[in-house]
Amino acid sequence: MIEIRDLEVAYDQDIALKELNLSVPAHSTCAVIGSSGCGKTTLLYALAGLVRPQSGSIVIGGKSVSGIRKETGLVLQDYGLLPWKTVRDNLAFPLKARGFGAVETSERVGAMLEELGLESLGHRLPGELSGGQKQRVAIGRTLVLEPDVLLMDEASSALDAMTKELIQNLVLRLHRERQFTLVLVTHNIEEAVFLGQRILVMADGRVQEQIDNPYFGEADFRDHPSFFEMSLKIRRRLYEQA
Amino acid sequence: MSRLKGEMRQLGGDRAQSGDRTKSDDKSQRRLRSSASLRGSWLQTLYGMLAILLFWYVMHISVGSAAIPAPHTAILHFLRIFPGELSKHLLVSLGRISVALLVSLVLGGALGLWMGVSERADRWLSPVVYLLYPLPKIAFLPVLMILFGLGETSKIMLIIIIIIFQILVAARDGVREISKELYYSVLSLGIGRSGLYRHLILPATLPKIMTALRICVGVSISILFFGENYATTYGIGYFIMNSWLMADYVEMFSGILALSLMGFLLFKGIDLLEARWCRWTRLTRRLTDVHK
Repeated sequence: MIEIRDLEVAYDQDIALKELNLSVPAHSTCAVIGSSGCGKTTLLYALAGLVRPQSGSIVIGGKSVSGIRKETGLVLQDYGLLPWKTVRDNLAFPLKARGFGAVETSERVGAMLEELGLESLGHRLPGELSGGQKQRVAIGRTLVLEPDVLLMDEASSALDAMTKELIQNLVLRLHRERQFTLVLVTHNIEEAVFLGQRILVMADGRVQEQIDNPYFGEADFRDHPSFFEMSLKIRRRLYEQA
Repeated sequence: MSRLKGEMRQLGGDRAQSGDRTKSDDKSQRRLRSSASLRGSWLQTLYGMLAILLFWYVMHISVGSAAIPAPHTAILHFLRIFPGELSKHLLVSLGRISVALLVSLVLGGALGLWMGVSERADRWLSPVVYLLYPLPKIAFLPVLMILFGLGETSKIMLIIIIIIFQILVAARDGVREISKELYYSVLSLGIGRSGLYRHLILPATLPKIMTALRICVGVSISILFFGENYATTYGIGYFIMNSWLMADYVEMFSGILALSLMGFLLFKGIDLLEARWCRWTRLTRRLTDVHK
């Protein structure tokens, strides 16, 4: 369970988040949507413990977040892979840095590469991969640490339409299998509707509206009229905010 | 799971992007690329040598002075004296430069990384660096002689106080260039401070440090030439100046050839280290070539 109370974050004089309140049930998903500069990414950084709030509190799993929380995973827009490490080493180094032994590291990395269909790419550098492949590696690097909360920032914005949908399918499948709590920041309405059990519309550093998505996770959801209805609803809300 | 794998294959576009490439395919391609690059590198060296020789011959013929001997005369003399006396001078110079480069790399690199990471360190140290960097440090040679004596230490210190700033500034700027996103991404993995240095900061700054090191090699050789002109009877600088004073220009040019050889070996050594430690930058360069 993620509980945010009266959160305020500012960069020097610029207030990025104002009196933000939010609760995300454990094992659920939450998509945050809004225009550029509305504070979505700052919210994600605050949840990851990367920025310190001026006031308010963030509680995850009953514990207050006061710094980087080891059980929280973060996947960023530009993947955040280390270009000098191979795919395998990108997955292995956080484990090694956390004190996992060579055998366990190798087993975990091998299993993750297999799960994500990356076995044949383990020896390649990130610069030799396509956008979709890099995104899978970034997700794998986070999941190999078995987080209970996964934060994703515009995770598929740089991908083509088809790859974007396939990445979204992958995230949904992994969420179902691993039961982590997912908080996803996106510009993309369809992505928010497909992956958000609850959709937050943000503007000016505040959550303007929380919309529950009862159709989340339905089979072939993208082809269903309810998907278009929900997308339309979100689009209208965003227009109203703009 | 099989459905997932099917999706993954579709998602990765492995076949679409790179065919059914396997690890051994990649390895053999890398081997081919590396042998082609080695061949190219030797051809470039050969071209460089021929261009210099041609220029040397033109100068020799057009000036018509004993001060510029014929290249073949100097080369033959170089080959004759190199195994004996000349190699001793070269080794002494190489030792002085290597120690100076190593000390500058360790001290300048560490200080630069610290200044890049710590805003407070940068605030306090940058003004000192900016004031000292442009000074003509060679003017401090008498001070170095008093402090460190006339022996090896003052010669090496003279090189260090000049080149350390380049490495320091390169390391500091290298840290500053790490994107906030990459920094956050690695930080969020919950690795400690030492892990951050080892996995992110050091590798990210290494290409800049290698470039600075390459510049420092050229500068070090020039300073060494100056430093080897007092209180020593060994070193390639001494050898060249001594030959000049004795008006033995063929011998002097043999020394210059040895100095050039030393520079060439140091540059090639740095190239090899860069190819080993910064393989990813070569990949970026290769991809840039493709897009031209």
